[in-house]
Amino acid sequence: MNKVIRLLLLISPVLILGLAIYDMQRPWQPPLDPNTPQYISISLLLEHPDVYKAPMEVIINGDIYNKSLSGEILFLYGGPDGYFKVNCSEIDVSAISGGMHVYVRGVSYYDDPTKEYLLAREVYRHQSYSYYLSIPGVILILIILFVGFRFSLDDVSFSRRAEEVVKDA
Amino acid sequence: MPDWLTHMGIAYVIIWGISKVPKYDTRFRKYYWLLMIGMVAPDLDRIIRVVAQFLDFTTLLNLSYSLTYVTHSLLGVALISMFITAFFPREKGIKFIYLAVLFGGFGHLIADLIFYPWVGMGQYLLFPLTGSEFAFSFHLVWPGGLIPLYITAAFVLGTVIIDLIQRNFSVFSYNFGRK
Repeated sequence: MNKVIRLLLLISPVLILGLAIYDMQRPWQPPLDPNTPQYISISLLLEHPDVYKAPMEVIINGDIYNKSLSGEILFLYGGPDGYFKVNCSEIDVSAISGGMHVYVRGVSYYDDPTKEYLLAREVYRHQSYSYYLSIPGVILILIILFVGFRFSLDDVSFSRRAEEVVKDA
Repeated sequence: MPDWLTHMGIAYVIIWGISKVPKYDTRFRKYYWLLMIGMVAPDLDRIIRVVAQFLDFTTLLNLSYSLTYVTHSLLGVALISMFITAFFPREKGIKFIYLAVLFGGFGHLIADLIFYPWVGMGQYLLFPLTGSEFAFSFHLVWPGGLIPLYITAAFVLGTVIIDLIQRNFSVFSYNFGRK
């Protein structure tokens, strides 16, 4: 195998993984423009209440872990950091049920101790089909690789054999 | 993000369009499948996510989300294309293989730009620059839904109908791995 190709094979996944780890580890920075709606994770909102003060508009997403009986307060599951409350008293959330994935746009009131929640202005409930629809895509890719490119686990190459290239030529 | 099937459908429509121009068809036919693989390559992180969800492994799940940021950027697509190209060591014209996968990856990024109707959300094309200020999107539809698949399916069906009328399925006529 060409040395340059081998280097690419080794270095590119390492660089991708390195960038991903860098993204996970890098120190958090406050938004550059507090007037722009900020798309953030729930854990970030919980970790940095000093920055996300009212009336900052934020967008969060997460899986619905629970919903109050009145339907006014949604508890969004935020991973290992705990729960985050969303006050949905101003909008209709009747169609949302447990297990759904939702995007919530609202206003952070962390600076007000009497309002430890995000006041929702708009909610989009999200039922993803993409994982299921990716299955036929994966099957097609495998057909292309194993039938079209004659993928071989022996030499980790999708290419035709050298003798076949010569034969075709 | 659209599913892999939608991305492959978009790639097929592009390939079909190129195949109808004999001048370009002759020149680029070898790279059609590479374009198709490049079109789904930025979503390879999903494999890790599915495994992480299956194992309930939070760190791996967080890594998969970070990988999504990386792979859905210009830099990430360039790196993934390098990785895929490296699996074709014996092919001549390795630069063109890289370009085919790269264009497929860029096509993926363009397709993903339709997502997130709300301002402040989008793709971080300039990763490692992130934040709402660097989120690019046309703000049209939500990810995970069926609308992109319906639209793509309509286009693919249109190509099939045209091929049926013309009795010409030339896009499939090249057998890459023939003996």
